[in-house]
Amino acid sequence: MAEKFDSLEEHLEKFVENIRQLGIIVSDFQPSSQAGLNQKLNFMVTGLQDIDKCRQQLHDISVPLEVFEYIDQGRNPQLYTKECLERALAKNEQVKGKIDTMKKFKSLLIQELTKVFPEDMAKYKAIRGEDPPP
Amino acid sequence: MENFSALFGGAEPPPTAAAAALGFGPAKAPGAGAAPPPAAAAPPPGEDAARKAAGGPFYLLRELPGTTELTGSTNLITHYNLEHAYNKFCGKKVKEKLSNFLPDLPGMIDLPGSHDNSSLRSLIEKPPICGSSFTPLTGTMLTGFRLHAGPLPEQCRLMHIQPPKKKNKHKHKQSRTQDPVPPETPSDSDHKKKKKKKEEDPERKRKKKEKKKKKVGEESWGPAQPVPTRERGPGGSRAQSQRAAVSRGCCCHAGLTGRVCASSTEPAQPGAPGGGQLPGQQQQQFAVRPRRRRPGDPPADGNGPD
Repeated sequence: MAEKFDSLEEHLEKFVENIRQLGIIVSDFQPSSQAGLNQKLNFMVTGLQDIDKCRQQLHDISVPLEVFEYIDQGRNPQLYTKECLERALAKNEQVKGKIDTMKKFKSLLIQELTKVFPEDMAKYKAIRGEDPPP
Repeated sequence: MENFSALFGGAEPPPTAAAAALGFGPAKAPGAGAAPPPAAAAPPPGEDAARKAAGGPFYLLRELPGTTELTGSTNLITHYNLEHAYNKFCGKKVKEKLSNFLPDLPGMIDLPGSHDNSSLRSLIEKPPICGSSFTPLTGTMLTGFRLHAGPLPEQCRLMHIQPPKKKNKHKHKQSRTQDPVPPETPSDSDHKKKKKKKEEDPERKRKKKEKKKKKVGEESWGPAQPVPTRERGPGGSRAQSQRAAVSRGCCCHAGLTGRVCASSTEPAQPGAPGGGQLPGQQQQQFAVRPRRRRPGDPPADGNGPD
């Protein structure tokens, strides 16, 4: 799994480095550096080809669109992961609280109904079986 | 007390034959009582019997959900083995800026993509019109990339702009102020500072004069004691190291590019993407940046993992 990403990362790093060097040539262009510029342009094309080849290995990877919003705003995409985890934990705790409360309510209801309708509750318990205490 | 099963079961028991004979029963017109009840009102006898067998006298009795089903009552982060990720991202503060995540990327990447129309969302919403394959440029195509000699204007040099990096001021603060200063309101503290400065100025001047006199005396009478300074590396101060780097022709130590220089890494090779036959000045700038270390890589000599 990680090997696929490593290869893509390596290709992307090479590509970015090539673009950086291309930028340096162009920023202060000298006639003698025309051959180097042509070479860099062709490296750029081969770099894009290499990155395109990585696509076949990563077709099963899906990226949430919200991550792109973070990147577009110049924010660290790890913040998205952090917020996702925090949200998941908060929701998890909320649902756990609801489930625990409902279990308590159920046991109390059965307790009180047994006092008032002992025969019917005996039948009910026979069908359902004894519930474990919450 | 009303029976509990009556609450969950049929609310009204069917009228007895005697009651029907006497005219008691559901409030309906006498003529309509003879008509059979609609099929939808009463469940078919077979279904009713099955339900009674399953739930006894209770209606609306359904199967309980299985205990093996995953619900919110379990800690889902531990269930999916995400404690490590949680501790990593939520345990310590994650830096806000994109440049902290991609420190090696050149240019100002912290600016919003909408500024220069370089957002990823626009790339998805409006994909560029191009072919499906990449073909290398031929000689005739490359003639379109003949450039004029000379530097680019300043406003076009986006590649060289790097986000300002914060200096670690913590050490300075510790060395300078040992006693914590009590918090004050900004207006009070400003006034006091100004007054203090005014009061201290003549005293400082006197002290300086005295020091100078002492130094002159020491020089005449014997060797001076070394003045305690902050410890630096073997290269001395940063400015000194930069000057030395400039004299050596080293661009990164001189703080010109912020990149690793040719002197610290292997030289650029002509076949490698960092290489090429270029003028000397540019060749020096094209030092290949060291590849970022990955977990699988062997450790460098003398340097353990961070």
